[in-house]
Amino acid sequence: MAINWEEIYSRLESAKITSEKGFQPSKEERDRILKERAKITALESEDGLKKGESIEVLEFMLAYERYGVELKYVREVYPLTELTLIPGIPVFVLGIINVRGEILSVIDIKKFFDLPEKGLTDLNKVIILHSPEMEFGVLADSIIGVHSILLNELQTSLPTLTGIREEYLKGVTKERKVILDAERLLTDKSIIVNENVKI
Amino acid sequence: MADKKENGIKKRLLSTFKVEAKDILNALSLGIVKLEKSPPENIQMDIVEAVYRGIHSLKGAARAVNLTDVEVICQTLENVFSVWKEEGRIELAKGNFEVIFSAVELINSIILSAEEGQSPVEKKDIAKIVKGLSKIETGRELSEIKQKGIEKVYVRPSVQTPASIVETVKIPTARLKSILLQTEEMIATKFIANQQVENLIDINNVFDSLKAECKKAYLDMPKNRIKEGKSGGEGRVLDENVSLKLNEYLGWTQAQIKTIEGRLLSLIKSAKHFNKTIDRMVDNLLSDMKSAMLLPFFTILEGFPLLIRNISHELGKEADVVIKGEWEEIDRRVLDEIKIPFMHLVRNCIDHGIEKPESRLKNGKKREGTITIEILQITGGKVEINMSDDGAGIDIENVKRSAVKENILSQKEAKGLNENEALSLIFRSGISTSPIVTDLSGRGLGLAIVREQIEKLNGIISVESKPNIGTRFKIVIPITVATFRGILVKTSDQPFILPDSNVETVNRIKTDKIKTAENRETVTHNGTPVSFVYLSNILGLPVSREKGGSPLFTNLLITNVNGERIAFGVDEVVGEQEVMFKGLGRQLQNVKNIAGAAVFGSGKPVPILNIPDLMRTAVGAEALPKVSVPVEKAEEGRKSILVVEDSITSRILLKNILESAGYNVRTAVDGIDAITALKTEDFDIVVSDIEMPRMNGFDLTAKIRSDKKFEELPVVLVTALESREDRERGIDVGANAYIVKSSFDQSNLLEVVRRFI
Repeated sequence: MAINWEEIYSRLESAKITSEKGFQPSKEERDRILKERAKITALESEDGLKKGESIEVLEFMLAYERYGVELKYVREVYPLTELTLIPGIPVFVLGIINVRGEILSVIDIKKFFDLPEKGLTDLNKVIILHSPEMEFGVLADSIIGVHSILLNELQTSLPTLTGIREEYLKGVTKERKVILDAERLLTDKSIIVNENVKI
Repeated sequence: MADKKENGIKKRLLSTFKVEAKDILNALSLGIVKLEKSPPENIQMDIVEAVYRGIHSLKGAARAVNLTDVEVICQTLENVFSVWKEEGRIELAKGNFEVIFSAVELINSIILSAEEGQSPVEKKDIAKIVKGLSKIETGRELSEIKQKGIEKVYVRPSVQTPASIVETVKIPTARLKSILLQTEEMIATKFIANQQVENLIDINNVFDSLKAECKKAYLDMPKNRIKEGKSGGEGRVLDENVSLKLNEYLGWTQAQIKTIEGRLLSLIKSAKHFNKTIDRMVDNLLSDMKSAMLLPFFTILEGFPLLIRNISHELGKEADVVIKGEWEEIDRRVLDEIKIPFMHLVRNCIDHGIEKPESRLKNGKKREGTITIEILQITGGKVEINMSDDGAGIDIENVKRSAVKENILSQKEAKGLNENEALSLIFRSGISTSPIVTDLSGRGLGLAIVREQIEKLNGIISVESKPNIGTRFKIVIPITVATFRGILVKTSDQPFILPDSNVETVNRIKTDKIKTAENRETVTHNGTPVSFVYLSNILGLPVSREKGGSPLFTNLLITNVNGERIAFGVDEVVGEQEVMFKGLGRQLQNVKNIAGAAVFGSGKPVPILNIPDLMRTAVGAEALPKVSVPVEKAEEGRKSILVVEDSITSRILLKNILESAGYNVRTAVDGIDAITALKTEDFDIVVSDIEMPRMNGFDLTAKIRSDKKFEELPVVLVTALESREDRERGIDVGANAYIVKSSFDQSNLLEVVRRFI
């Protein structure tokens, strides 16, 4: 097969010219391209705005309801195998457990919030919440997992829906998961048991 | 990136500086207080020198972290002391010391809140102090002195260093704490290793009887064959082949037994060896850890001279402090806990004890009061701390009046108190002898808190006082919180620890020896009557005395706090044990009657009782009707229930519901456990979960039904399984009732239980 050298040379030549000239679109074409780009970037930023701030939440089951606490206040999840009852403490404190040599108290938040008892559940997990000043375990039936939740998707004032007083709520998600305000729980003075000397 | 790194370094530098500065400032204030005290004609130049050097090194350190304000103040302070050093002495009026102290304080507050490169203190405050300090300088030109001051830096005078300097490192307390916790956990390992040996020995015993049986069978074998072979024809002859096979099998088993026996014995031997090694290692580790936790009292006392000076000045009094034994060592955790009580006591001494200078002089005393803090090591791993003042003493009548006013005592009771009893009233909350409430004291809470804190540490505080001679507080506390000996008791099926230090005797007496006198139960101890109470009553626990043996005898412990005795009745005294004190966690800061918890081999915490608290509760509870006898009677007619449930919380919940409805409840963790319980005790009904390890609820029910003895025993299944098949299966295996957990509430459980028994 004979090679048409003539044609190859001319093609090379035109390619050379184009590449030397660089990309020079017409005005209309440039406007169109720029608009398109603007649209893409605009979309992205709009998307980002919608996303907003999100929090990582540890979800768990308690008495057939789904709850969540912000992950940054969770030290660890510990299986509840041994529990020691302490006489004479408020009912919302279930007792104490030993976590690798450290004693921690375990709280039943249903009792703390005065929620109605809904059946008998397993309660074999303890979620250890912590802050620099406070540390305690919260009872749970089972752990569902860790999810990211958008802060602006949380509905904040639906205490009637959950029975939990508003101040302890971070919010309720669309799926009616109740996100507890762990920080509030950890700083709440009424959760501390401090029976002063009285005679 | 580089910036970030640099920032990190700066941050670290600053925190190191803070630690260093704190040490220097403490030493500085100590030195300055000493200088203020000593008369001008007899100034100790070595103290001046030391203060001067301290200020100088602080200045250098402040410059390194860019705290210009601190540097400026230090510079002027340095000038003052350099003049002093040069001249041998300078005229320093009291007012001048005031300026120096406020300069030190200012530096302290700058450092405390300092962030990199800035100080939160107002510039004008600094200028004021600097001006005040400059005035002290005795008319010399500032620049001239400055020059000299700087020269001096390079010609460091030879310094006398303490004879023995031990190399030290600084470790963050959090890291030390975590090491300590893990070390303490090692005790559990010790227990487990010990348990392991016991278990092996148990297995060996079982194995021994197997061996003996097998040997017997083997010896019987050949005889049988011969005999049967001879008598023949009776249809009982073993087939020759089978017999041979059996013989062969038994022989093989014998050989296997020999091998296993050999292995078992060597396993026991090595387990014992391991046990011994781990015992020694853990003990050594713990005692090293304990000594790593020791710090001298000095670390909290070094600030006291300044504190005492400031408080007494505020109150228009003059007080000197003498500290003895400050190098005695004590666990840093105890030290942290006693710092606040110490401060309370010192304030108390100055506010209530030491009189104003005029009235002291009038009473023929020195113008300045003296507060003496003395620390002595005593036997039994304890220290005695005496804090005394040479003030007016405690006005006992005044204390009594206050107690009557606060309705703690009646007029009549107050009259009947002896001196010691009246004095100890000052530890009660609400009592104060101070006519006015100041922000230092007078609210009557201080000493109550002091006592509470000391008792929490397993210590005892007492007071003695002589009018016009002074008051002395005596504190005895253990050197370390790590371990102490305690008595393990059981009451209402729950274990508790009572610290040895407050238990005088453990006894077992005939129950009819408990006499009722003046409407209280008492027992006789060493010829004197002692009040008797049941521990379970004091703790508010349900009475269950079915264990602990015959009602003929009662186990009791006689506790003693400052000479007051009470006898506590318990179900069972398990024994004495070394225990590790642990707090109840940050959420349970103070719990009535409970001081903390101890962890044993199983890892399950056991509450440690606070004996002084317990005795106070007991005194308050004496008026309560005594219920022990009638309750015990009622118990005989109680129905008993076996609760089988693997989840601990559900188990406790079921137990509580059923117990408060008046049933006797025994629990089991799964089907196997339940079968064992059924063999040893009689029950009227079984309440069981379905999903459980080892043996589930269906199998348990089937097993129960297959036993003729339990044909009539009602079984209630409580479960999360809601399907129809499950319900049918439950009925198939013979369950009498089926409660679904999600619809569970205590009334339907009780209703179901009542229907069957």
